[in-house]
Parts: sequence; C-alpha cells; structure tokens
Amino acid sequence: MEKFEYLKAQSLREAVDALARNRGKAAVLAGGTDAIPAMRRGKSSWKLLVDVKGIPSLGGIKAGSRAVSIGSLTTLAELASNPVIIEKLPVLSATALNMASPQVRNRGTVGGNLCNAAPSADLAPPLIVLGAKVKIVARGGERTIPIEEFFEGPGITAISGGRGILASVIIPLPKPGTKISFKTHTPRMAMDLSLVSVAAAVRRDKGRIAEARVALGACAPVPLRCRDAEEALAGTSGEASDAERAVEALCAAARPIGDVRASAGYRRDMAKEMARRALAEVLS
Amino acid sequence: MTLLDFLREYLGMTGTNAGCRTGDCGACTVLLDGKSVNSCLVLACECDGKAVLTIEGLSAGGRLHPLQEAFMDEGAVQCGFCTPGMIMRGVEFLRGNPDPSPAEARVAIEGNICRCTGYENIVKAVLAAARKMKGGGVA
Repeated sequence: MEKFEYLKAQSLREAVDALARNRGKAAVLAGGTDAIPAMRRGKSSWKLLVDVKGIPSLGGIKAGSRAVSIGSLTTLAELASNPVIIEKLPVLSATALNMASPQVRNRGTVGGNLCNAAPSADLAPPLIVLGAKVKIVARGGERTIPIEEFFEGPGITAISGGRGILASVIIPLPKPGTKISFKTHTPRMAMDLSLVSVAAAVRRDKGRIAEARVALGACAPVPLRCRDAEEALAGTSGEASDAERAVEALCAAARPIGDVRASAGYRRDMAKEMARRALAEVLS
Repeated sequence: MTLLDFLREYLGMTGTNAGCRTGDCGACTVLLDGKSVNSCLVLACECDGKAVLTIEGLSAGGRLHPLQEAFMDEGAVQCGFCTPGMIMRGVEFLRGNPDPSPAEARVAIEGNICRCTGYENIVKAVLAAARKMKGGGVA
C-alpha cells in the first residue's frame, strides 16, 4: 500500500472541506471494505483518506410517520437487524443480510455500497423502486436527489471527485397495497456479487396498477430504473401478458457486459428470468 | 498499515493468519469492540481507543475457551490455517445466538473459507461449544 495521510474528521464540515481542498486526491473512509483492498491492489492511490466514522450526524436510522432516514454510516449488519427496517422495509433488511459475509457486514456501510457505485450494488435496485432519495452535503450546502440520479457510471456518482458527502438515504414508507420484490442471481450465496438483479414495486388501487417501479442491477453502467417497464404495467390489471410486456421492456434496456463472472448473453437470459420472478411475486 | 499487518509484523502476534488480504477468506478475523471483522480490511489507526481481541487473548486463567476445546474434541482442525479466524467468528456468533441450529451455524461461517475439513466438524464444534457454554462454562 502506498503512503497516505489519514484524517479523522470531527465534523461534517471538516470532512467536506478536506475532500474539496484535495480534489481527486482524497477519498472518504467509512467501512473500508472496498477502499482498503482497492488501495492495496493499486487500483486507487489516494493521498488522503478522510475517516468519517467519528461524525455522529452520519449515523443512525430514524423513522418518521411518512419516511425512514438511514444515515450513510449505518452498517449492513445494522440495516439487517434494525427492528424498524425489518418491520417497515423488510426488502432492505433481507437484502443486507444476503450481502458479503458477517465480517464485511459488520464494517461495510450503506453509504459505501452506494458511493462505490458498482453496477451490481445490491442496495441500489430496491432503493430505486422504493423511491429513495439521497441527501448530499457539499461546500455550497445540502441537496436531496432521487437515488437513480446519484449514479453516473461504474464507480462514478454525483459526488465523485470530492464534491460532497452522502449523508443519508431517505425512503418514503410504501403506501398501503404496495408489493415489493427483489431477485438476485449469484452462483454462490456468500461473498459474491450479483450477476443480475431485478427489483419491482407495484401498488394496486381497485384492482388496477396505480404505480409501478422496476429497476435492474448489474446489467448497465449504473443501477437502472426502467421507466418503459413501469409504463407497460401502469394502469393495467397486471395480467400475465402485462407482466411479459414489462419483461420485454426491461430486457430491451439491459446492456450487460461479459466478464469473469458471466457472459453478456448469460446475464441477458438471467435478467429475463429474474424479471419474470420479481414481477410474478408483486403481481400475485 | 492494516490491523492485520500491525498485529503480525509490529506486535509479532502471528496467531491471526494472513490469507487473501482482500476480505474474502476470513482467516484474519478478529473481534473489534466485540464484533468480528476482517483485520485486513481495517487500518491500524482506525482502532485507536478500541478493543481488539485476537485468538491469543481468548483463553482465560489458563483455560481455553469452550469453542477452542470443542475444535480439538471434534477434530475441527486439519492444517489449522483457517482455525483462528473460524474461532473468532464463532465466538461472536455464539454470543448473539447461544442456541443455534446446524443451519444457522453453517451460515455463520459463510465468510470463512476452509480448504481441508469440508466444514462438517467445524459446524459440529460450534454446536458442541454452544451446548458446553449453556452448561455454565466460560463465555
């Protein structure tokens, strides 16, 4: 590992300033489960790591009457075991529990999973279909954007290059009548990335689909919200033929790569299958 | 410097093994403030003011931890490389789940790779330690 400076930030302002002053040379250190191996492999050579774990405002899960706020420092283990999340947003606790290993879940954070911006980041598709927003704190102030706009490319986000810190994820509580499903395909249960993942959320009102959201993971440069698939479902009664039209729309949006884990063709086939399974669950 | 390198190279405490150094194999698992972590994924400077427990610190008053004894009794060790990490992970697991099912014990070690035993006797050892600790042993 190359030499680097380590700053234990005492406040959000100190961390934001340090990142902005060292643009392109500094990175946030949260759980370290991505950052440390990347530095060891020489994939990244940061001159400064800004440890944000001492900033209390970045931690904690707060439940309001209409939304839940998850601090970016929340570990995957905390997300998996938090009673509020288990009760109100079980798709997130189940997803967190399936990620990596207990040791990595004890360190790895929600913010890290999102800011690392892997196209396969497992928290992204369910958060997209939940309609989550992310709160970003930068030098110029804070702003809140839909999570699907946070991802700009593989490893690139709206705050890459020292342009701020992800403070929290804000998730509106699903309206009554909402069904949510998240299907991932991975050859190994532990310590492996999803080859493909599909999340779907559907809300029915008097039998018709009032609202539909569909997102695709690991099949494009970013976790993808698929509006064509959503439009194929909206207003229908959710018959098998409607689901199949949505699956086709989702497959048309998929642009998977082939790599050491799977070929592009295999990913495409599995995207179709995961989409069918996720939609069958939310339309049942 | 990672916590793993600090333990092994600076303190000379080589009970914690260095396997993959990428957080995949679990051989370097230690307890940081009571939670199991891959010490290769933690910087030594991040541990300032925190409690680090390694395999060297597990026995108390000259007595092995019940999980260490169970690993010997059940033949859960072959080459021994994964053993310190398996035991540290098992200690955290049994604190949170003192009466696990075989399936739970198996999932608990999903982040620890063993290339010798086929895991069978490791799972048996975790379950045996749970029974022993319920009987009033050291925790």
